[in-house]
Amino acid sequence: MKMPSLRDSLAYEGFPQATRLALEHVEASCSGGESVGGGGTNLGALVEEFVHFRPPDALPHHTGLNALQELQLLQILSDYFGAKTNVGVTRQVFMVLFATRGGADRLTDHKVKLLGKLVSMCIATQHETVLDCTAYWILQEGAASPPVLTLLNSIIQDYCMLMPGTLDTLQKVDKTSPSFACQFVTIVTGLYQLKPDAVSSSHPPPSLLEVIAEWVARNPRICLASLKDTKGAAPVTPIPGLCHWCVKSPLVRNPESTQEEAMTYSKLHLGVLQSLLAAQTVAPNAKLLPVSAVEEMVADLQALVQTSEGLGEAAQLAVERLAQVMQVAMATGSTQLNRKQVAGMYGQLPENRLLSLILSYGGDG
Amino acid sequence: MAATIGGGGVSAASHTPQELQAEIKTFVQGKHATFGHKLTLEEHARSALSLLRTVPAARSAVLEFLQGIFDEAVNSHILQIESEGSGTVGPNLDPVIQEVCSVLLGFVKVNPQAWAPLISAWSIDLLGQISTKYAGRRGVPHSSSLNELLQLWMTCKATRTLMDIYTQCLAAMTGSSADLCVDALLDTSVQHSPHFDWVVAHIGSSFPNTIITRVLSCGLKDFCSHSSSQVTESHVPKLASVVGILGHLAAHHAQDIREALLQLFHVSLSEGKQEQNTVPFLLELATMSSMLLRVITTELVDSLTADVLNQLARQLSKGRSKADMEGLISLVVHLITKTSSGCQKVLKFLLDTACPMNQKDEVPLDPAVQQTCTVILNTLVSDLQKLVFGRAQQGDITEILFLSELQAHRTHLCQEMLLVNGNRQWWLVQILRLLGCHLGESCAADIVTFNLQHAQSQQQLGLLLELLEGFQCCLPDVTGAAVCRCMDSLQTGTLNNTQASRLLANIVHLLKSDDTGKMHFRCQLQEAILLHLQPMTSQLEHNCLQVAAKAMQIQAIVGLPAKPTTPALIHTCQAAVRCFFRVLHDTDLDEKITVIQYCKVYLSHLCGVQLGQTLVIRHLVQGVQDKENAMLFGADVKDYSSADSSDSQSSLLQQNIQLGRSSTPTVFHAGVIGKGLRPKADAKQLPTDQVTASCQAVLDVLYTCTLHEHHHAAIPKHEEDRMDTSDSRVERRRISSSGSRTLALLVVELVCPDVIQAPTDWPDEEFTKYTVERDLHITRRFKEHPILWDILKLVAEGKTALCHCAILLSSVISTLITHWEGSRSSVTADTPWHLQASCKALECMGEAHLLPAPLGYISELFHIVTPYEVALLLREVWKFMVENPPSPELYSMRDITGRPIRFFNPDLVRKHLAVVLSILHSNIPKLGHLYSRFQLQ
Repeated sequence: MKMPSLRDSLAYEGFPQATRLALEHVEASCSGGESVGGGGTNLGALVEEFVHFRPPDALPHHTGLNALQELQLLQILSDYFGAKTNVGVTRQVFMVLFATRGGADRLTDHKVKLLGKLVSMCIATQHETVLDCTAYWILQEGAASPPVLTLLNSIIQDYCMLMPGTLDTLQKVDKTSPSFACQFVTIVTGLYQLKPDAVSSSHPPPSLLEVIAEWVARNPRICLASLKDTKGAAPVTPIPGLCHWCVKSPLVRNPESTQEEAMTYSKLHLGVLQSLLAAQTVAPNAKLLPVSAVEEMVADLQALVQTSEGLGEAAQLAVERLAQVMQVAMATGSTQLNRKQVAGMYGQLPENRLLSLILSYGGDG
Repeated sequence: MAATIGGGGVSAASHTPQELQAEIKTFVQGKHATFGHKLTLEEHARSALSLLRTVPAARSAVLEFLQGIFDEAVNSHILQIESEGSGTVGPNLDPVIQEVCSVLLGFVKVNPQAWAPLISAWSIDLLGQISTKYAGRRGVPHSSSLNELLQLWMTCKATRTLMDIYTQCLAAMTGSSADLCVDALLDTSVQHSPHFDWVVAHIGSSFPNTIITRVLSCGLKDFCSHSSSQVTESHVPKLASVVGILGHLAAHHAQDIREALLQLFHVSLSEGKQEQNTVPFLLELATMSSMLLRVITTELVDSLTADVLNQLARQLSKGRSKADMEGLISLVVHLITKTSSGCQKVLKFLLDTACPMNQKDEVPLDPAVQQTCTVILNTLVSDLQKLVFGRAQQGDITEILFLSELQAHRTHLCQEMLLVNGNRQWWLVQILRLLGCHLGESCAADIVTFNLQHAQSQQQLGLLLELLEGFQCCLPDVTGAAVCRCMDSLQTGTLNNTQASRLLANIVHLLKSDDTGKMHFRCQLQEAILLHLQPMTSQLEHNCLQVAAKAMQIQAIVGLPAKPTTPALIHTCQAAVRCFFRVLHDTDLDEKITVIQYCKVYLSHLCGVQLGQTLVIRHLVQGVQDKENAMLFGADVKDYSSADSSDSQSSLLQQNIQLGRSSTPTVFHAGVIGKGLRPKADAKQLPTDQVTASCQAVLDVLYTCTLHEHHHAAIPKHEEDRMDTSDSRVERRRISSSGSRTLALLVVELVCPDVIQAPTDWPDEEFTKYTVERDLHITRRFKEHPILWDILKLVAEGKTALCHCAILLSSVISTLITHWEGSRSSVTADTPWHLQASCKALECMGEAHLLPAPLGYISELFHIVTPYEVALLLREVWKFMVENPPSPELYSMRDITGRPIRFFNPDLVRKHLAVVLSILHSNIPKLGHLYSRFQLQ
């Protein structure tokens, strides 16, 4: 009975005041112990009408806010989240605003678009809360779900394609919100898988690669930032993906590859090794390199070695990087594999001194 | 990608997050975040640009804001124009715009792949909005005056800058990414169509090639994506805008467009989904623009060789349902009906493909192609039929372009129709039929005329009849018009002898065709020809006898118009008679007898009119005596022309000089003094059988001509009726009294040199000495022209008519009396002509009841008795004639057949019979057997 009058009063207020009031109301509902699911219908309708401006009963040609108003809306949201300190409530409010329930929501496209802009802006303004919440949102949505991929793409488009001049802003993100940076890297490694058959689309843009290498090299713990959010469950970290990149990069030649890029991968490789070492202290016994990831890596490598005959040097580099990763992983206990299992897997790979050294090193493993 | 790392000129100076937040706030609220004052437009714009560089998320907002700036700038420009420079003007935004332009172009330059589509779409959309928004303003010219509009907008800094931005984006893009820019152009063009045209025109003329090819490929892509799914409504406007843009460019870049279209077509011959849709796409385009249609019909058709067609057939049949194919065909047919230029080419192509003329092409055609062409032609014919007749019914007079354009080629089509056969011919006939029906009488008449002139066989005439039947329904007067044209061409002499003869022969064929189904047509033709008496008559005088003979045949079949005008009739009679004589002269004319028959028929038609009869008879009698014709009838004329011809060369001047020197050459009958004897005239004698035949022919004609009875007012009507009925019952072909009277009068007029009307009474014998010269002249005439006797006999058959010839008879008899009286020979056979003449004269008189029965037989004695006795007998006849002068009024009785007879007093006859009987007595051994004949019953 209360809602209609609230809706009317909000409608009377109009943008932007209505949005502010709506946000307060959402916060009140969340902190008041009322479950999001319980008042969801009404709350959802309120958000749709006064945050997204896409009411369910809107006419087909209704376009919502124009671009300027949208920017103002972003500013309101950014201001709103900037003032919050209670992490739990903030996350709840954030989810009310942007959850897409796995893409099933009516406004999924719009929500993802708006969130993309919000995130993009917050990267520029180094807004910690929003980025943290986004990391949480990514975890909730699932790393490989379409909304998340769309979001990431829009950010990459903004910072790496259209505005390469703002790249240094992106580089600061790991300091602002390590957990967002960690999720970001995880998804990016899933996005660009360095597949041998496909061309440039499977390679990360050089600028993006540089940003990630910088992050990992500067702060090895960044790869582990997600561990604190996923207690108990299987750890989702960028480490397997990054290992893929480092091992395969010498063999998967991009037509646009440069010497600089090879250096960047090298830097990234060092960062990954350091991250594995750092994991010993941060999260001992966390199995950061699952068996499946290693198997896949070895299989890809074998396929690549067979197809690229003349690249003996590159193949050696790749196998050596793999050996280094495995050595560190086994040494730090980040993998469940022991030497025997590893030896079994490595049968087909070219000879490598380090690899044979590791494998021949007797041990209990 | 290397360029993307360095930011170039657009790299942002590093800002702290707080600064950025403040900047955003400043921009959003329009007032300074720290100082709180309201931003000027310039400051606001600068803030926007700075945000564009630093905060990617603000991009769309900034671009939207910049749209406002440009709009403001345009507004102030328009205001300035409207106030004509006197009014207040808004802030000068030119520097801001310049800055925006340089920033945006900086982005495009650094990373064209990412920015150009974005910026180009933005700029073109803004241009579209501005064009539409200000279209109604007073200062803005109407959208139809493209040049003025272009001039206005290009003087406006804001729009010019936008245009610059767009063109630079377009220039910066390569390959497929340019499609994105053009796509934006197309979309905007759809949205803001008439007001946006100037943009298209400008861009098109700056990048004709890019725009044309891109627009086409975008259109094709769009078409493909829609053709695979259901036809939605959205793709039609896109096509429309493609057409619109090409239409703008057509004025100056027609050649480029042509090439682009052709290239598109040639590319389409390769495999691929998009290629598969190219041809339908081109067709779809052509339906929307006559300009593009023209390109396709004029240029594309040329490149459709057998190879290409086979390839197309394979391509189009692939993955296309039957309904689709049918749709395509009906589209093609629809296009063909709308084709203007090049339609003849298209038609020829279709015909050639459906029924190839020469089978020895290097590449054999796919049967499917032929089949399709056949279907197309059939559909075309039926569609055209619907259009032509559907329109006629609705009273819609808009023309069908295909047919109107084909009109110019109608002669060629007709020609082809006559040359080919089978289906090809059928199609041509149908198309010609529709052509005529659609374009009206003049065109249809042309077609008919052409066929009349060129058809060479019965079968080809059959085609003509088919065409005529087709025209009949909507153009009832086409036959008349066609005949009119034929006559014109005959008269202007544009046709040579063979053509003219063929034309007339074709008309004869049509007139004679005995197909009952074509009856109405035959009647029409007859009526039409009747209207053209004058041209037909002039054909009778055609210098080629063959032509004249055909014309005569037509005239004979057609007859005479109901009420011919006098001048026409005079001319016609003269021409017909002249033609008749020419035919008689000719020795190698095919079917001479038939032609003579036709002459007879026609002359008899002419005699159906009283004036005609007089004229025909006159010309015949005159012609018979003409120098040129006389020979034909066994005349004994001296031809002096050959002797004179030697003189003809000497000039008059020379003669005059000679005249001065010597005396005048003295002329005698025997010759000219100084030149020797007159050369013997070379009497050209024709073979006897020809003479006989000619005489027979002319007498036959004369006879036929005199058959027509024309009554004078003097004869009461009822009597005329009675006579007619009795005539028809007893003897149909009897010479008429009026006809014979006319003939008689004419003979007299033409033979007798006296000008005054000859008296019908017989002169006294004493009187003859005053008329010796006349008598001699007349006699000589009879001597020269033996046929005159036959004519006289013909007159005699008319009984009373011979009375009018009394003067001729009296003259001849008076000369004969003198001859016989002075004759020294013992037998009459010594002067055969005089003997014959005496016999013939008396026979005629007996026949016509000028002499009663026994006296009329006197001529039977002449060859036996002596010349003196002949003179005595003739003198007795003379005396009788003086006492019983010939007069038509005396024929008071009628015989059983209704012919007039004259009653003579037997006593009177007996009195004059005495001399005859005494001569019989004196020659009783030789004449005994004739004695009873001269007894009066």
